[in-house]
Amino acid sequence: MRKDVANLLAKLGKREFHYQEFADRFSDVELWPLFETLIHDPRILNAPPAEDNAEAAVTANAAPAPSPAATATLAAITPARPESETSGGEATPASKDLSNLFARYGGQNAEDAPGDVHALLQKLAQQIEQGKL
Amino acid sequence: MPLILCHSPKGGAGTSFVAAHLAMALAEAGHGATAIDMTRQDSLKLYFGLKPISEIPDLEAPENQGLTIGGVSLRQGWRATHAPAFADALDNGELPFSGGTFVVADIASDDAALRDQLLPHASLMVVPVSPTALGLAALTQVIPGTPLIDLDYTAFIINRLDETRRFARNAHSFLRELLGGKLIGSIHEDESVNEAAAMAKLLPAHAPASGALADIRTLAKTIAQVCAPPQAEEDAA
Repeated sequence: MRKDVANLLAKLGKREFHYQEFADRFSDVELWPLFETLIHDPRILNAPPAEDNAEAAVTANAAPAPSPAATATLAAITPARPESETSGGEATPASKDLSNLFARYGGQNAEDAPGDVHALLQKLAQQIEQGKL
Repeated sequence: MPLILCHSPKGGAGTSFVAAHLAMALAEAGHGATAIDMTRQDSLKLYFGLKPISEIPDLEAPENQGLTIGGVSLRQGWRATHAPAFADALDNGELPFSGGTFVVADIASDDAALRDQLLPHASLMVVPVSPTALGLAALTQVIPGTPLIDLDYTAFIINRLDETRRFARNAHSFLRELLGGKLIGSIHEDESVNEAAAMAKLLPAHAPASGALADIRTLAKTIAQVCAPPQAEEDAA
């Protein structure tokens, strides 16, 4: 239980309440046009192919790289997660992230988590284009 | 000495709040912590219970002239980090920070040049995101030239989240899916943050039960795990 909630319930003298945080299911999320725009934006999800866009490649190279020390320190955020939230060994890095993500938000949706966020977003985009959503 | 950059491409995302309270939470957890205000606004100090007129020691001031509040050594770094000598020092591999402590840098949203200078030396960049339409739209600008989803050493935090608001709630779910493990948590909207600054008090003193305070403390634990100083890792072992 979050500390602020625990404090509030204690102040109210409502110790009989049970408390649980519920994460919204992604399928229940309203699909705002902005979300669709972001999904399709190459600055968010997809890098332009280097051979097709030399200018983009130059820009990308200009972006500073992390230091070697940082590389040793940080393996792309992954070590931050508690071991109990780590997903199965066969998962891809993307699905690992997603499983851990759902687990971190209470584990309620861990089994519902799609295997690949890219695939999920592409599927949603296709359904939007086809007018199914 | 892990350098943690706090920078958002969108102004008003609460970057200074995140930087200040991240440093304080790290100090509370027993880590050495320095917070450096690298913005011209000079507003980081308000989250340390200081008033706008208060002066904090320059980054290059001697150590015995330092100011420690809430366990955090507080420094003003705008002048020093925008001097030509700073860029030269970085080019020579000399970081003007020392010791085995966490250094949390508050960088203004429009100061991409400083961010780019420091990024190669940083262990982590923390990006606060407002759960608003403009906040999400600004995600296209985090690091120009690199798709958001491919950014390494970058952690996102949703700040000022009010889940009673329809778009904010949806944006939270969307960002959770989009960012995966890069979204390390959220900080709930909490007026006591504003009240504490207005009263020139530290948030833990003004509102010990603050939800935002609890959130940032949780996030600090995550960040400390991600980029703990080598000495801390050895101690833990």
